[in-house]
Amino acid sequence: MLESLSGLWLGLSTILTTTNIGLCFIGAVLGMIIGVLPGLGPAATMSLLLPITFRLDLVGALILMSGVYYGAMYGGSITSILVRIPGEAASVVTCIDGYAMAKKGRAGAALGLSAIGSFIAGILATFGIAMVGPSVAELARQFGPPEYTSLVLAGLLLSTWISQMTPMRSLIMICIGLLLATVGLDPIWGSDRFTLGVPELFDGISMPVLAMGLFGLAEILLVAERLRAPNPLVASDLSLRKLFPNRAEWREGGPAIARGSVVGFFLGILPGSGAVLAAFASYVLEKRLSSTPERFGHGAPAGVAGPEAANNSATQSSFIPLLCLGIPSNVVMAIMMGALLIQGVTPGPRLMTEHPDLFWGVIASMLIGNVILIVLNLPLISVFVRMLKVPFAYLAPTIFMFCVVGAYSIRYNLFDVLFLVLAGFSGYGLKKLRLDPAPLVLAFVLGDILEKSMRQSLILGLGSPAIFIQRPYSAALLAVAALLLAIQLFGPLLAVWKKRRKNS
Amino acid sequence: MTRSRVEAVCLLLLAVSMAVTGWVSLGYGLWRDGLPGAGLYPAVIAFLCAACAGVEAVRTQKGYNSEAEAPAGADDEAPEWSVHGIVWSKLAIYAVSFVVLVLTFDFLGFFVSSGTATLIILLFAERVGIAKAAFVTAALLFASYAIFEILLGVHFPAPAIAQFWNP
Amino acid sequence: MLGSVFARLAVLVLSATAFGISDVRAEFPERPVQIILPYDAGANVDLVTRGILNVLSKELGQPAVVVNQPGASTVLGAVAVKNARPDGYTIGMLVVTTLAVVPNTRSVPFTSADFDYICQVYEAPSAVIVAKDSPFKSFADMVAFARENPAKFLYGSPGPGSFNHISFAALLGMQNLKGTHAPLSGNPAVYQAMGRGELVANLDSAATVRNYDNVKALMVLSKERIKFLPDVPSSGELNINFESPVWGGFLAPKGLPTAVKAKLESACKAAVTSDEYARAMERFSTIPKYRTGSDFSAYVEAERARYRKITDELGLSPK
Repeated sequence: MLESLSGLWLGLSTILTTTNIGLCFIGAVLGMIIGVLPGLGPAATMSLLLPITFRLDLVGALILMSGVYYGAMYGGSITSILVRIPGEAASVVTCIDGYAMAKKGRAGAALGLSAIGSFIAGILATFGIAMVGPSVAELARQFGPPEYTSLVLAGLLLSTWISQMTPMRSLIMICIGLLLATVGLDPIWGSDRFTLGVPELFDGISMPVLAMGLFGLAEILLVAERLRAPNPLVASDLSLRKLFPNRAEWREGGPAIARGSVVGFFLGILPGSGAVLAAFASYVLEKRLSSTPERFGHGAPAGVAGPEAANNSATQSSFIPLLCLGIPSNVVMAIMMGALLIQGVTPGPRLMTEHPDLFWGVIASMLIGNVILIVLNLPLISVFVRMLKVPFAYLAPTIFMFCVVGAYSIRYNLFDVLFLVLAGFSGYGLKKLRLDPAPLVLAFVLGDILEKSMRQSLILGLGSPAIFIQRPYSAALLAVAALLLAIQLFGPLLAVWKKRRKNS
Repeated sequence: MTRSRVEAVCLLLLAVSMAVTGWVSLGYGLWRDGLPGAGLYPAVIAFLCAACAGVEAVRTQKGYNSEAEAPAGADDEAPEWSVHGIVWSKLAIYAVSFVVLVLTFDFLGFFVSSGTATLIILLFAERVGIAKAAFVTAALLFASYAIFEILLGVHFPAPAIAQFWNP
Repeated sequence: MLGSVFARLAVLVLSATAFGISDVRAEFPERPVQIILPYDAGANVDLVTRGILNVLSKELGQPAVVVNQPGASTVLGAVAVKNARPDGYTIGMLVVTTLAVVPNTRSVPFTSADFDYICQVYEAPSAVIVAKDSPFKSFADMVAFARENPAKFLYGSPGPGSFNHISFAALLGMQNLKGTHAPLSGNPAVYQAMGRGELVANLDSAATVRNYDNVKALMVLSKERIKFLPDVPSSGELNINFESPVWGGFLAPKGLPTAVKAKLESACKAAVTSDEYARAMERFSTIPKYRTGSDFSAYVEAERARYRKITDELGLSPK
């Protein structure tokens, strides 16, 4: 405890130079810009910055790059809320309730909740890394394919709760999502499945492109089919006081932020797509805990605050495996590792003792970066909300063009543009059939991990499924999954039974 | 045809296509070297999906008004579910502009094709004046060039057509 | 944002002032040269490529910039190079996986006839890698274990049909061993699983030992020991006739104008044989290796044929 505070102090004293704070500022702002732009993620920008970091000292280079990463999480929610286009993969969940809030004229409140939620989560996560980072890194080390399988199974059981649809309809969407995730090369044998021989599909469908199409483009079509597009903001008051979350919204959003921060922190440590999973997990958790779950999907503040806190928290805690174990948990962290290797530092358990200024400097810079971001974000809220006053006639082609560039820029792939438009038409059709795409997207994210890790586990377990219950974390998660299944199967039965007893 | 019947037919089509997907997956091999093959997992999911969609199709057709009605509190979304008031021509022009962009993106390059798509939307769907439409399109193209190509280093591919006049 | 713009401006101004704008104008290159790289930023190949950029930029008189285009086991990057205009402004850094391994494990939309070979840039030995706390002290220990516990001998790779998978299977085959292949999702996952003791061994470029903290090498697959792993025996001294180097070089789309090709070749030669590049490679534990375009092309053909034989024997060649 004392150690970590003195560590943070060391970090702060290392980075409180004009250069480092300047780099932190540039990183955070650049991150916010790419966060706002759909498609383009932090990884692309950081690879652009990589050559520049050769000329910076190592602490400065890492501060700059990490600023880009968590800055993107602040920016990502903005387009999700305003126009239902996820700016970042981790902001997909915010499209559900954030956009619903905006439609009710509470766009400012949603933006405020997400910015302040991100800020609180960022600060909490920074202290979390400082205090328990090295000890929870062990969790990341223990998390292999079997653990992932069990975790994802539990998540999949939760995913029927994400939508207001009947369980049967949710199940249909979940299955479609799982199937879409199998497109590409088979993870074990390398044979191709459902690719129609298109090499661009060998790595599978891109999740941000799928979400952009199903949510964003579909929404354009849904608004465009009306003669005069309704402007959701016409009625709303743009005074700053009305723009911010009101007391009722705080009462719901506040606890959600706290829970989201914790959920995000732990899921972020796990290798893989932590931030996306964290946002979904927080959303489902909030809906489950809420006394009014029927309001989710129609603008529940907790459905914005929780996930946004969770994705920022997860972004920051994903530094733990790299800094404490030397394992990059995603592409962004691999770029950071590259920056370290270029300058001759091998990340690993010894980093903390051999380069304390580096270790603590990066962590301390997150404090500064989050403060910079919240100071930038709050005044921008009214600017962003005003942007919604642009008539739909101009807004629609703008959104469309940025989606196209965004989809293309993710993998420099023309096929993704085609898929974006296909997904857009499908999203429109699904809405007309009263099918909600949210469980589909969640299942897509989970399905990508599920099949791969299930089959990898079987190999690691030498062909025996016993591996799933022999390993403690996996067994515990499986137990959770079994409990969830029991609740889902017997919950309705129990309710019916109670009702009957009451009546008789 | 009533709304519930349209839904039921679509769900039925979904069920059939899922069954076909499951059939295709069977061809990828269910079991190999004592481990699940490439086709097992997709086949299970696809057949499950086909079954669910089939059941749901029947249920929708039977009891649209009672059980599957949009949940309470969804009145703000009501217009999206109804067919009344859809301006089909406007929707079609949007769809056409999307398709035009996809078809010409490779050949004409990003700027020409997305400019064309934007102009189609502005002129024919939204009925904006020519001068205004041209201005908005130009501004949009410049903004995307400035932000993506200059600031963020996203390289747009050279249009395939360019190689014909400048070898 | 500013940083990126400033850096680009700085590169432009520096290169312009250093070489004088006027007299380079007329000839190739008049603008920056893009290098398509089929890996993510931060990957070892990415670092190696960036290591040569400075020198190459100086030789060309124009900045050379990396464009990361990963995907489909490096196939998408190769396709991008193939489809680029053959004007010399877009070249690719393609590697053993792209040119020699993947074409033998699945059907790919390119052949060697689609490219003009410019030069080879590096060639580094691979190594047999185990966890740092592994009980094996030598390659012989590992072989003995594998012979007694063929079912338990799990070797990892970042994916099916990858360089690591094919090469290790071939090495095991030479010892009449089989083992079980466990394809995981990418290199970090492999080294994490190795740290947990789930994987017994794998084969990867020798530089990996420097990049990951928790692994050690049992044997370097080269004739002689290498400088940065002086304590690790080489396959040559253990009388194992197996080398499986990682290599890469510059390729351009077929049909470069002769003058442009000559300019790229001479710039590449000067860059690869420079001291600055050698020093940069020392940091990434990689070894510069220069071959002319035609020598490189012949080398690639030989390597491809070698892998073809392996995949045929393993039954991994596409039907």
